[in-house]
Amino acid sequence: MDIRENAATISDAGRDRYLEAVIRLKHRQAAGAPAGVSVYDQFVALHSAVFAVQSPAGDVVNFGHWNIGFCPWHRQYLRAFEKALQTEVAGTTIPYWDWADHVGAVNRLFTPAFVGSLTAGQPAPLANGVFRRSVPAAERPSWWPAGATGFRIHARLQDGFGAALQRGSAGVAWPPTGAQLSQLERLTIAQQGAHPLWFFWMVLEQGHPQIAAATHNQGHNFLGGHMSGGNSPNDPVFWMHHANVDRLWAKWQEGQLAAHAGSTHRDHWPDPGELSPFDGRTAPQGHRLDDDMWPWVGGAAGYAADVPAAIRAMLPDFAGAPAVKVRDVLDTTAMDATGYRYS
Amino acid sequence: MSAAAPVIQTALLYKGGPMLLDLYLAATEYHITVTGPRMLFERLQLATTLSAFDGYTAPRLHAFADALEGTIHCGLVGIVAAEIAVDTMRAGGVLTISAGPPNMYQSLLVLRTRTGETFRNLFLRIFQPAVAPAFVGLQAVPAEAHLEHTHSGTPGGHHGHS
Repeated sequence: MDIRENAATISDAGRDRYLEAVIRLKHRQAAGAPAGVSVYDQFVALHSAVFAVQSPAGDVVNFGHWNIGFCPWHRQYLRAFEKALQTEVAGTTIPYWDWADHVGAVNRLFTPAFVGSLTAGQPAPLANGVFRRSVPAAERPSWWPAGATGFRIHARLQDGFGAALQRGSAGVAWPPTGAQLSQLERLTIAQQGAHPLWFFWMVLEQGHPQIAAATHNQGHNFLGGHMSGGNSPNDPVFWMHHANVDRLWAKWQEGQLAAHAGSTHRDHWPDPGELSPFDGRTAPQGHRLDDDMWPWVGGAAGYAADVPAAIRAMLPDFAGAPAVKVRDVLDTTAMDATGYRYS
Repeated sequence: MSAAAPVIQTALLYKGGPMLLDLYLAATEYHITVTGPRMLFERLQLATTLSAFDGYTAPRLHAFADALEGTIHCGLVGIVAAEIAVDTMRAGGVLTISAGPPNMYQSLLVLRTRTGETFRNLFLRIFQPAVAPAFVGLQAVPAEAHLEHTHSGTPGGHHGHS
């Protein structure tokens, strides 16, 4: 069982495994991709592409955001990324950014020794840490791969910011309190005909003024720079941010399982035909219990990312991998042979 | 002489959330978090139950707009001025406030009165309504275009996943 640890308290060895694996993945040429496209870049491009995918039904669907599939799609996405990290450095797991422990985050996570400092004001290149475009030789850690010079954003994925990773916090409210997140973890809104998951997902992704306003979206805006755009995985904090998103969903699931004796993970996901309490429609394709989640569709025909050809050429090919349905990832401990949980 | 501390009201626009925000407030600043600017929500516009017969005239609407200022706080562009404008339509004047550049996550709109008055007092001073308004607020206008499906550029050259 893989264990994802709190970034504020992870050991130095655990921190370094993550950093080294990210840097190595950033420099690993992706098989079958144009020259200069790394495996890391492929994952970034995938996040951009998921916003507009032609489905076999002919619709253009956002498979990963703005509906309940936000939770399982990102769970699968992070797990695929984590597996890629483990091919670079065995035993690597994605540390999670505990939003409520802001002191811990500032003192440990957002430091030169970890992911680099936060930046206040206008977006600007990172001033320190291993994710700068160019890391001076004297500042490179002992695990630094030979031949690597820094963390360079691919030209097609820069969102107008250039080749250096940028951050810039424009004064949005952060962090959420522990009490707010505890309320979110226990959130069970009872509205006739609407499964409680709908409401939990909404607050988790977009926030709610009375429950917790500072959640997923606000975390992106708080970091700013690359984290605020469609290519947000360019910032390696993305994975740690979403690990916390996933952790909160896992804790919500645990709470629901405990509150309803004999229930299973499946019971805590809406039926496929249920109408959204927000827009009166069923969840779009890819968001329902037995839907395949693009790009993990087992090579099925009829799917196409509706992105420029140059971006499409960067996408990873999962045609040879088994299809993954929403149902398959509801339990983190059983979603693959190893499974994972949070410390 | 130091300025009085602002009195801040907060709100959040999200999918399925309330589309009307009260602006008849004893507050001098309004911090409105907009989920998916230009993707879920296009802009905000002033809405009230008053008419020109009650004092809600087009010239006063321009004066009200001039008495407001705002900033957009967005990680893609930093802090930029919010566009506040009055469109004179055949049906009447419409005061609109931009929600920020296209963004798949969010922006923060900070709206304030230039004078430090509360929004309610500013409204009463400029419009001098003959009757008390039943409602003065901001209406969130849903976005109709699916910008994320077109991958067009965004202001300033930032992709912002539009």
